[in-house]
Amino acid sequence: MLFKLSFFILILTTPFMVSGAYYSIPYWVIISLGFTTLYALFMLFAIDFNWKTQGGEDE
Amino acid sequence: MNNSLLTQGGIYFLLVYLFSLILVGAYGKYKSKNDSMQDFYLAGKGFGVSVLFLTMYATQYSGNSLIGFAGSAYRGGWFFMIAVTFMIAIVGGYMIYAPKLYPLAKKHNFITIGDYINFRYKSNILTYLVVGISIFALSNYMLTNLKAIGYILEYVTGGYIGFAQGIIVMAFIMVIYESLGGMRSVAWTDAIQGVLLFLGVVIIFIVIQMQYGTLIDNEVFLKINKPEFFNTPILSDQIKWVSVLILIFFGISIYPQAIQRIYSAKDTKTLKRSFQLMIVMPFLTTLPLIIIAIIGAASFPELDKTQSEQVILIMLSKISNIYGMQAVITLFVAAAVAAIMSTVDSAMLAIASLFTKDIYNKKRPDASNKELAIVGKTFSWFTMAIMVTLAIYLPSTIWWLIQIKLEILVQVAPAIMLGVWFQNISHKAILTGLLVGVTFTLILLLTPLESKPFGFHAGVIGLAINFFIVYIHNKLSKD
Repeated sequence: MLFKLSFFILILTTPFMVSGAYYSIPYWVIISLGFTTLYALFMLFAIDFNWKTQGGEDE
Repeated sequence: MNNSLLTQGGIYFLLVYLFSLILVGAYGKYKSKNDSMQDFYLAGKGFGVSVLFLTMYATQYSGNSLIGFAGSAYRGGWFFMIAVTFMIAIVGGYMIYAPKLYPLAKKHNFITIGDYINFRYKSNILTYLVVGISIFALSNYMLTNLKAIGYILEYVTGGYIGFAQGIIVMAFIMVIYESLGGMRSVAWTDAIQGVLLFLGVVIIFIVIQMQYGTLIDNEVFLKINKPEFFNTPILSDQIKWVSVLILIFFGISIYPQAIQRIYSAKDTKTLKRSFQLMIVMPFLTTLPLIIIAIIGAASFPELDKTQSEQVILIMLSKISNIYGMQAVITLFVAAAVAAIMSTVDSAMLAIASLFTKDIYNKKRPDASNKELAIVGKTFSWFTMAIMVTLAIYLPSTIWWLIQIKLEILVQVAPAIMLGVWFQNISHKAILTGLLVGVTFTLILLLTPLESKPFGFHAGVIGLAINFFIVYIHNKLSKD
């Protein structure tokens, strides 16, 4: 489930069509980097908890 | 020597570091357990987390990561932040097949990608095709990285070491330590190179922040010099983003050298921890490089394409009179050289194993371990000699050809990713999908047709057709 959800989050990293910037960082970068971080967190947990559902064996 | 970025001490440090790699290679030979291919190409499948993670890290982050990523971020601005996302997505690609492939590899003693294809589909044609495409992609990877190492050494030594000399010396060092200890030597040197790469990026990031200021400090310069960095993304940007993610997700994750590293893990836990560490590294390696390049764009806005690839070196050279900066420049050069070497040696080892195991051993199944070891090492030297010659003499007019490697390699993804999940998919379905996918990609790339229909890479269009053909073929053969 975590792994499947991570695909959805990966697509959400696509730049949003928003203008403006916080100092020198455009808002779309902040949003995209936020989703990238979320994707990374999901993947970190998916590796531990979804390994078996991905067909892996216990260590 | 007058234009050299490195001091004499820096050059000596670099030489000592390079020749120490041969000693590591010799130690790898000393530690080898037997003459078997398992031991030579997978180090007896005994890597723990630290070595496995560092060899994966150093192999995945090539010279392109240190030089090319900075250049791309300098030219493309924030859009290149996609590199952080795609470096994480590669692990997402591993997660589709590695949990299932790893136990199979352990049980059936796989060494190469061809071993799995042959085991799963029992088709010589499909195995040879996959091996051929893999060798083509790996050769291109070696070529670009060898050329990069030649340019770097020529640039940082002010021509003291020439382009061709640099390539030849580096190639000799790599092929010697690879021949000595195989995967064991390559992975141990990768581990040293990985540490050097990481330290180099972190220290340079801190130094640049201190000397050139942070992103916020550079806001005004960025808005004046690079206003395009603040443009609102449009639909074509979004399509490009998705297309690049698909290409990397399915393409880089099936690189033969990456698969060999998965095979060589000691156990499942080791593999899982290594993957988790790989997820963290883009935030600590790729993101700092992108930020450095964007600060570089604010400070040096007039660089052309070639100069932009050297933006970090240019930034460091401008502050080289500051105490201690020579050491930082030496560290950067060592990190760049390390990143390139770790990629080239892994690609070379993968090519040698593919040839020895999937081509030579298939033709001569009775060959002894000793014979296979000699063939593998001879092939490594032969491959390196060819690559060095091409890197030095290949005319730039046909360099575009090597750009298409990933778009072709990605067509192998269904064979691996669908193969581990769906046992009813036949070799005919995979073979047809692969051939149609490669053909379609080549037609788009090599003819006057639009090479990026609707903004998608030719390889992505080819991959979609490839998956569709496998699905239809499978459905029709079931009915």
